[in-house]
Amino acid sequence: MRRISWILFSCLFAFSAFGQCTTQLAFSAIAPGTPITDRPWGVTFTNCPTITATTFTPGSSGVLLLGGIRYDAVINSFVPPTPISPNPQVTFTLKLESGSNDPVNVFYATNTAVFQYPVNGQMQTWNLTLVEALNVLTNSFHVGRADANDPNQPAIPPAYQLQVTSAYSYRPPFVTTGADVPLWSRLQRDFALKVDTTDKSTGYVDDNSVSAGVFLPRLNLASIIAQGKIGGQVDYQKPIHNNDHNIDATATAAALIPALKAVNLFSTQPKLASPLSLALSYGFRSKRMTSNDYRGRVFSGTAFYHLYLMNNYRIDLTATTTYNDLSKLPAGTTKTQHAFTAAIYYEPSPNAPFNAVASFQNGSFGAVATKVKQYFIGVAVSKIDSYFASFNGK
Amino acid sequence: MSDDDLAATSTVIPSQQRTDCQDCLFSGLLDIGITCTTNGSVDFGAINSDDDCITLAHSIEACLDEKGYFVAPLSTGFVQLRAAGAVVPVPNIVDGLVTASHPK
Repeated sequence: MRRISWILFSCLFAFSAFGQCTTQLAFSAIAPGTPITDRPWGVTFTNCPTITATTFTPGSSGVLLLGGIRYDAVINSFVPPTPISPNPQVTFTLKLESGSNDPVNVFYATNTAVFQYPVNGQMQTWNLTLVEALNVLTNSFHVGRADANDPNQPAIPPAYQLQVTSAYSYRPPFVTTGADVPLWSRLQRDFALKVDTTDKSTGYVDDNSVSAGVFLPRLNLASIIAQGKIGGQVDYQKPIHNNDHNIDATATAAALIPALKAVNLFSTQPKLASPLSLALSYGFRSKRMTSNDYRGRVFSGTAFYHLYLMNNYRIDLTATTTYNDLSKLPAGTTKTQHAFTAAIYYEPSPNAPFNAVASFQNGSFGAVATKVKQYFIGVAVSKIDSYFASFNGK
Repeated sequence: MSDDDLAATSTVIPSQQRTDCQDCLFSGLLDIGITCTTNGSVDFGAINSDDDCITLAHSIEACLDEKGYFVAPLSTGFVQLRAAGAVVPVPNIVDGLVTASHPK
């Protein structure tokens, strides 16, 4: 089936000029041997026009509350907006007692951070968001009554519904070359549990799953691979009220290939971008659905590549191949399926307030592997704040 | 330190700092698979993930720390540039690193 869709104006306004003041907390990596008391910390003030170079005095003190722990912060400097940091930042170091744990460990283990500093004699408080991916530990539990009414079906009695979600994810921090860190601390560990069921066997949601995975990220091997990530994952899904189930056990590997860097054709100013990236997974699937058993190997591979043309055009190419060796595949389902996407971005200049995008998709996409051939053209409006600012400045 | 030494230091430090910042930028980009050229521009919108931006930031920070500089955290800015799809010439990035760092 051939489907052509045209969207003439897809306006995604970035109202950052009128946005709310937000603040972000980050820290700098330090070389092995540098004392943790010398580690630079920084709060970035996004869309906060009242924050200027005179707000903070070098050498004065503020307070950083990180995960409920209070640290005295000694202001180091105010960094104005630069080409690599669109918003201003105040930097500071933390006063720590001898033998203290590195606050970075608290940073990775918390979801709450607050910065306090006296401005014009009054203590100001900013709630901070943390820039890096964090340890995640979330749990929720709900019990209640559920009703299901479908006008085309006979009425069914209400049910008692149970919803439980639990997630744990440990994301290992950046490790400098030469640092002595045990392997266990370098592993990304993910676990998720979901229960969503009722006391009725039909007519209500019965969606339960558990998954666990272990990955070793940030692997660099000379100039052959960069930011490699290997690991394994197990997913299990099962309704409580029948015998259907699905279990996947897969090994995964992903990496950037520096040798195949982004190519610039007919460009006077070459652009630098991520090189070819590859993501592979291989494993085993066992599935029971309506009393039929399906078992077999599954493989998926995705390649992603950037290409530049004539200074203003970027082309992103994505190709995915899946191989499905399940027994008793539905009639007409091929074992090997391919999907290909080419997206072309046009930007008149680096600071233009809009860019155009056109894409072409061909192959099998989505969880149900719908086969499509699709074209798309759109215009995205962005950087509207700097666009209007340039008018105001004239 | 004599006046002559002070004068020499004040003229040498900025260019040495710029050289150090450029070296650390090049090694940081290499860590995320990008071979850098001085006449190029980094397309932050085409860095594949926020994780890669954060790795780039920490790699540059650790490199500059080892060379004796106090450097402001870079990860927030890089993640914001990626979200904005910003394209920044390499010399401008080096200028930004010089502003964000100072000798300890």
